[in-house]
Amino acid sequence: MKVTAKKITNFAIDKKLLFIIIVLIIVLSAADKSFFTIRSLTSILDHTTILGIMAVGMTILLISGWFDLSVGGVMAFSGIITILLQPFGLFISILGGLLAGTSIGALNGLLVVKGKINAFIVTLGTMIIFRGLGLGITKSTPIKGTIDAFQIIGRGSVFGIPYRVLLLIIMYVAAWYILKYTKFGRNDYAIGGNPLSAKLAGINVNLYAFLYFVFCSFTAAIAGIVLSSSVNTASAVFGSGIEMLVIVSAVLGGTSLFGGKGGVVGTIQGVIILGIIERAMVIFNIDTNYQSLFRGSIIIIVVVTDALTTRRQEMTLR
Amino acid sequence: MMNDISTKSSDIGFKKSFVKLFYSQAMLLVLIIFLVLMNFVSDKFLTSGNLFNIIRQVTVLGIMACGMTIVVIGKGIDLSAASILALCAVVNVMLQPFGYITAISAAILTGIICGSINGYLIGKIKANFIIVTLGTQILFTATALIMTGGRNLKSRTERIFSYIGDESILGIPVMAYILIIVFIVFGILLHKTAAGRRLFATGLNDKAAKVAGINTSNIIMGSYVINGFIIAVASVILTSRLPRIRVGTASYYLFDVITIVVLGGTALSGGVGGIYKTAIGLMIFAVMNNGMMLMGIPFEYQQMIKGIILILAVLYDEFNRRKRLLY
Repeated sequence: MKVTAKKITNFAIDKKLLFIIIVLIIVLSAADKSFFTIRSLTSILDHTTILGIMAVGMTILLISGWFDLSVGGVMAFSGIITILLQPFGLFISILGGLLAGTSIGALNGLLVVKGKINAFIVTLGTMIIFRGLGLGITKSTPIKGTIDAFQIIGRGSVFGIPYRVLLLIIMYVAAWYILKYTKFGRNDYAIGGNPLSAKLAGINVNLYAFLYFVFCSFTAAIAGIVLSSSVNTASAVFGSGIEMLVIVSAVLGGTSLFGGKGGVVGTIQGVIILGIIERAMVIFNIDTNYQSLFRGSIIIIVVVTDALTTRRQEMTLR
Repeated sequence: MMNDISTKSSDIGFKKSFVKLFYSQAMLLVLIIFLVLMNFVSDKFLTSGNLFNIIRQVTVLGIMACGMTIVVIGKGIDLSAASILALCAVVNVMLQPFGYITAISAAILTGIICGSINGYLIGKIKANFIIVTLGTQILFTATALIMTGGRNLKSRTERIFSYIGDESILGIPVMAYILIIVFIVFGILLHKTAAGRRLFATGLNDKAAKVAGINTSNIIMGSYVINGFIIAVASVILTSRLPRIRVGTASYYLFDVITIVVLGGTALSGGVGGIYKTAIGLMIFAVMNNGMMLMGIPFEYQQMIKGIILILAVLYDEFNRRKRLLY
């Protein structure tokens, strides 16, 4: 009897995010008739694709114990490069955008791993640098795309499912597989759990940390291309402050800021919860300033919960 | 800390001590080079009008940098600094009809409350300082925006504000005196008091500090409260200097303040730094900022250059730390 009770509690703690999602959906469906429709639910997923794509890379980086504040800047910058390179053809422009974003990640990784500088200050610096560079080359005005085919990525759909939602699903499945079954993913947990013992176990910690930074920026670059494709515009101010939401959705999903635990299955649930909350604020017609007040409170609650659970686990380990 | 240890061995030769001096005072050298260069770039630079202008531009940043230095020495950072500044300024301006004493004390109370929230979450609950202060940054900015309803507010209704902002004593702006007093007070607080030494110990190694009997969570919380207080003081200067307050423009202050602290050589790894270093950082920043304006570099590229300088400064600091350990 006692065992079953414990099992149920463990199950509830394990699946708490799923419960939150279900409760949110029930409450919102009661409040608004149009909420519980396939179209509305797909559109929530659709609106959170950008956040969701970036959260994949961020989760992997957070598990290894580092983090990246420049993802918003990377996203905007790769969008700008993609739109700017469009006169050279679609393929080259997308490749250029990906390359531009990924190389910012390489710069971050190099400075953090080889330069031994604090990840926070490096990524804050690169964020400012590349937002500034983006503002400079676009002369502070949004630029429009010239190739119509480019918009298919962001706007096209098959059987009513947008391509970008498919892309999101593929990325999550791929990331789940990578984290669970490959060396790249296994080393991630080892390094995040204890970098020193990972090093002693023969893992090239510096190389892998570098690769995680590159991967994080790579996903941000994909998000930038998808975003600029769906609005057919690029601007240096796109996604300012999104790095916060990306980190929070990963932490909400159970990835710790202290490294070593978490995963993309939790992250996608965190992303969906944030998406539903955003949607709810629109449904209830909440003023934008109160919206950001609410977002700030969520961030604080999430980070405090993370700190308290981590401390409790450390206590039990002792 | 490293310097103290190396000076103990008395047989340091002239060359060694010279090299040590070079590495410890490198930023002073950079400042002098900057000053000389600027003199060649623009003949307007060394006029007293321009110099006082520089002081007026950086007073708010300098006062905020003192608070940030304390937080950074305690191995933290306050990303909500600019938001606290905006919120305090809004409180100050909105309460100015009730007299300047009410307005200023309310602003200072606001700053202390904001600092306490940060300090409690970081010091006591031990939540990640970056995410906490990013979260409170959003919270405080939103509160300020809700209070103003997004409007620009007219400040300086009382005479005392325009006195702080515009007047001079003995030909030197009033603000310069305030800035110098804040630096001296913080220098004494940080380097000459027990609490200051404990802060260094906590920032350098919090576990060791705790074992040595220091109440680390109180020390960390205190550093954020003092930071909130001094930001409120800066907000009074800000409202005295600007005729109108806009919440949205405050975010640029944050990056500048961090750049000043890091340029001076206060390490983000905690436990290393000082008010003297921040003063040098402030002067380098001020000259650089003024130089870019005199040369007419567009604002977007100014931000970019500041970002590059920040990263170079941290890279140099890391390199410098390794060198200093050798001598």
